[in-house]
Amino acid sequence: MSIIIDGTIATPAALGTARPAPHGRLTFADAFDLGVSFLNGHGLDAPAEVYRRAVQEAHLDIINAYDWPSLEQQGRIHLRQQQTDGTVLYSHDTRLLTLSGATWPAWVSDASVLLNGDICEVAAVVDDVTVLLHQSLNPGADLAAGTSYRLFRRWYPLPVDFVNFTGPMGRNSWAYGQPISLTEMYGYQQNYPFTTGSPQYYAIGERPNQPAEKAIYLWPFPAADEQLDFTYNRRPREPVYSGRDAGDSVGTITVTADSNAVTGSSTAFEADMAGSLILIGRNSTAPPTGRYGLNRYAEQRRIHSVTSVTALALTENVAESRAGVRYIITDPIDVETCAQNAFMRYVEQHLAQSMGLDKGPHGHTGHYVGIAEKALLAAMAASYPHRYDPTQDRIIRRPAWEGPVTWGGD
Amino acid sequence: MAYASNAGMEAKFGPLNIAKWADLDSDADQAKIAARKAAAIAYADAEVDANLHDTHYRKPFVTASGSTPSMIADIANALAGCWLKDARGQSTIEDGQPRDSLTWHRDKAYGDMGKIKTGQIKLDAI
Repeated sequence: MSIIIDGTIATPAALGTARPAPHGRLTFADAFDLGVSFLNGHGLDAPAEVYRRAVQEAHLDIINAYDWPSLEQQGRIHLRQQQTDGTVLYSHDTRLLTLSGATWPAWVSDASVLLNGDICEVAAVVDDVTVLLHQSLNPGADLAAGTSYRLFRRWYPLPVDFVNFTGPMGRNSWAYGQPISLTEMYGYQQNYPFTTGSPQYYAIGERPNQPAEKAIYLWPFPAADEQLDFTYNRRPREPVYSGRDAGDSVGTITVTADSNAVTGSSTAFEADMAGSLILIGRNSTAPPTGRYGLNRYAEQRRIHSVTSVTALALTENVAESRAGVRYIITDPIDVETCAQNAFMRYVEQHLAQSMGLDKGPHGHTGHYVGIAEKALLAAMAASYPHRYDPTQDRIIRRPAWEGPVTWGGD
Repeated sequence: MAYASNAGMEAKFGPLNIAKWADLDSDADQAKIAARKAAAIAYADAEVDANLHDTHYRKPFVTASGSTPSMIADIANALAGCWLKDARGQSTIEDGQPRDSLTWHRDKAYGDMGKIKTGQIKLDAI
């Protein structure tokens, strides 16, 4: 028996090699098509809302199930040194705090100010030397001119897509600060507001006045301006554009080879389509289908920015010129490739649940739940660079010549 | 968007038939006949939308080029014609069910909608 090890027998030469980039991405439209096929296979159909909900729920199932490496990324926060320059005057009637001998820094809008031992909060910035204090977190009485103060930040906003930390923070030893509860953090900040130095504790909480966004609270307060680097799991892009709505495919587009510009005719591009995918069709009559359809798109590109309702820019140039062709705009399913099958099984599971397909004579069978969970385990096992071992053996990926190392079982 | 149309009904059942069925009082009042046809079209459109609400297609039904899918138009024209004819009375009773010359059209319209609902018939629609 002979073994082909270098592919020289195969022709053409590219046989067996990966298709060159850019690779097609799984889209909301693909998931919608899959859902229709699934229900039609059971002699059913459902309104578009049911498919949309199944896709969005499956998306959450996947991203909540595991720390997918593709969702991990770096973040950075610029920590600010406290400011004590100048003196202040506070008028309780107007709640205005006026600074003399210095100006407020740019970050004053999210700052706290220590006045006579009380931590007060800035509610609004009036000008370079005047701020409005919080309606209740203020000194409660006038403060004479010449009062000393300490301006500092109790919290810093985390990236809007922040979900949780995944790695040690920062580049210095303090970066391994200990996580504590927000209640404990408030206690440290309230009781020891003069303490500065390398932060030893941190807490993650809601960002004030920004629902659904997170902030990090630190103590002690930084002694100097410095950077806080960290890795975190991001929230994936929410699937919104299904490719099925009127605005997703109205009109035609023209693209030119080696250009990233898309010119629309009777199109209705929207600003928040940036980041979505555009599937460029092959003719002027039929909108292209996704990867499972019979009228597969000619090129799939990501939208960089939308200039107007008839103009947008892509992140990459297109390969071929096409004039007056149909298109659809749809969101990518923002899960890594190895999790795509699991995602689709969860779409089916939610559709089955919605349509009563997962019920037996004695109630819920869990048939489709089982299929989806099995696919999820396979995806976790395939996830790169980590290998999740369902048998609880932990396996480290090493160079092939060294072979895998296992422990905790053999 | 109207799926059924006067022209569509007339093409399917004949202009004279449609005019006769729409003349409920048999008084040849053209205004009443026109109103009757409009009511039939509205009924048929609503019947199609109600029966096919639980399908994945965009509502109202539309092709990629923005026109009414031909199958939806055909179903709606059949239902509109049947609605006009129904009001003039049934011809016979068979097995306890009213039967007339349009029974086949009516049955086919509802049968096709049933197949659309189960995915057995795919519409040229987005």
